[in-house]
Amino acid sequence: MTQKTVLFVGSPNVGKSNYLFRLWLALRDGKHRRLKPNGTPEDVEYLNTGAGEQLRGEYAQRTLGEVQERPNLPLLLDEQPVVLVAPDRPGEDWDKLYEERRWPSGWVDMLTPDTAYLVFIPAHGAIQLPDWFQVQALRGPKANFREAQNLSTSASPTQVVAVDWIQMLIAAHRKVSRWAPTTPLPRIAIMITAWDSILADEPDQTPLGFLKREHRLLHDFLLNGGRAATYRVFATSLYGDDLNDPDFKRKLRDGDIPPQDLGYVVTEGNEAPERSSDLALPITWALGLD
Amino acid sequence: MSGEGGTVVSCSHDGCTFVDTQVCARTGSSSPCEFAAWSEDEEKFVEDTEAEERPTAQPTPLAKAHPPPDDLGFHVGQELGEEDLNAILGEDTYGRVIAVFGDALAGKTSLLITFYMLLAAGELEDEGLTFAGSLTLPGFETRCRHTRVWVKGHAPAAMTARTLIGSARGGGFLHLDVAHDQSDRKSRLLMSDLPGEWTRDLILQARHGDRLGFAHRSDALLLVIDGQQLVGGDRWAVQEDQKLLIDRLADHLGSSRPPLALVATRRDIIGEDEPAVLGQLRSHAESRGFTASTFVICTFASDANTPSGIGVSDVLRFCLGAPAGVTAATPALPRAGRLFGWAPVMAGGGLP
Repeated sequence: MTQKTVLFVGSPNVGKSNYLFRLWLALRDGKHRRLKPNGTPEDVEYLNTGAGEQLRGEYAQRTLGEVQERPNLPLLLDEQPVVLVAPDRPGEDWDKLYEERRWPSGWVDMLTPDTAYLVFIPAHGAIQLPDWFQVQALRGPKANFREAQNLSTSASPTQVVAVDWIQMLIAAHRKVSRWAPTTPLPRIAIMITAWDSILADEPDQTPLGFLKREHRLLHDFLLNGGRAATYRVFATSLYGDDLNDPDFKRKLRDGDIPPQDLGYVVTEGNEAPERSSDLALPITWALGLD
Repeated sequence: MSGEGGTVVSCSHDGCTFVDTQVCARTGSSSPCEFAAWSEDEEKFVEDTEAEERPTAQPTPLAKAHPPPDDLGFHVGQELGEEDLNAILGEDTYGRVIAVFGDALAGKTSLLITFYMLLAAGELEDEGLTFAGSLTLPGFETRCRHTRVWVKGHAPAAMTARTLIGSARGGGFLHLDVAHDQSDRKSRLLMSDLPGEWTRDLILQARHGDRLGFAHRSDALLLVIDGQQLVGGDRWAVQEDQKLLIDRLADHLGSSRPPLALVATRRDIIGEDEPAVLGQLRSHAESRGFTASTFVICTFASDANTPSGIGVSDVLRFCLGAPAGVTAATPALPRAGRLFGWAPVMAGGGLP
């Protein structure tokens, strides 16, 4: 049986584990889609525990450093059997990769020629550091002289780290696939999480438009990088609103609508963004379907 | 045989001796090469042929031929070495090596990080230039940390940390891929970031040209000069030094004459007019066979009267081998509606 690995890439608290648990619920919801379960995995403790927290109205807690869960999900992709391996690594490990430039030895077998990647960018809470030029562009030259501030010790901006990861993933892909011009390009999805929080303020916002405004370096890198990887941007809302909002949490717990029926994924369409209730869409794409 | 992390390695390369000697026959390294295959569930070495006969586990436990984790082709991030240039210049992008010279505090590193920051912010889109990648992002980030410091009423004392490299080391390079004009064309810039002392050493003693071997393969030369020194009382001495540097470069390069840019910094202090001394330096460079251009720029302005970054895109275009943009020079000033995600920093009591 074909086995395919999809790596969830991102710093701590960007929603990697919670997407995994929501994906698990989506795959089990019995709706018609091109990706569906092919039996029940032997060990579902990790997935079921995390999904259970969400169904009770809580986000799953962050992945701990010692957790090395590696769910194997038997699936049918357009009726063809495939095993999805979706390792859930702590975000600290990814941050360490940026700092140390060394792929952890325990991760080596996660890299195969057809490994795909989901790179998580939070809609809110990303590290965005203005610099001398951004302040000037936003507020004019005088703004750089109005007030004292020191941001020099902050961690690197989220978009910089993300582009750096992607370049490393492409390098690793070339190595493991013994790259040649005919080698299929790796599939790399950008996952903007908590998209509902963006739409609440800007109903017409698009995923690419958001990246262009908030993460310009990443946006331009993706648009100019089509020869090195196949990219697609997804914006996700796991339940259509924020589980940390007490009102929404109450509605979710007391309402008649199953939580599995909530949430959506937005992608760029040919003319306008397309919205889907299929939370498995990014994985379906990562596994090779367009 | 156990490999890294207790795993077992086999090798599909003909004549492999790694299992017996723990030395790779292909590379001579004590680490196996990319033909090695790793396994975690075996206690002994298994020939490839035997491995193929093993029943396939469900699910497949391992992909074949995993390289060791420290051999995945990652660059160190801070800067590239001369040895890295061949590899990445051979890829499918139009690569250009830019050799940057100038005394300490002339503004060499400031110029390079200004390229980066203007591209990162999308500020050169109107000129058809956008960011397309960099294998030295951590290096740029390290170098531009000081640009995230603000002092009320004036500019910080230094916008970059001084470049310090051990004298025994070869040149270090910062890398930028730049996309042009929304076309499919990209250029790869590999720009040397060397301590000013290297330039000073070369001016004084020709033997120091030995460590500037990369200049022979450069596609353009930048000679960065503190503009204040071109208009003050020391200007004749400075001019003589720069003429010597041009002579040294001409001698060092033999018959090669890449385009040369003479870049005067501190336009915020000296004004936009080209200092006479700079023009004379251009004439001197042309007399030595160079095609020379002059630029007067400001990277980080010391007051609000001159926009930071003015003139820098013209230098970038020079590096890319493109003519200066007609619209060039002045960075766009404030754009409405871009405060959204920046609000926590911009409105949180920190910055204005």
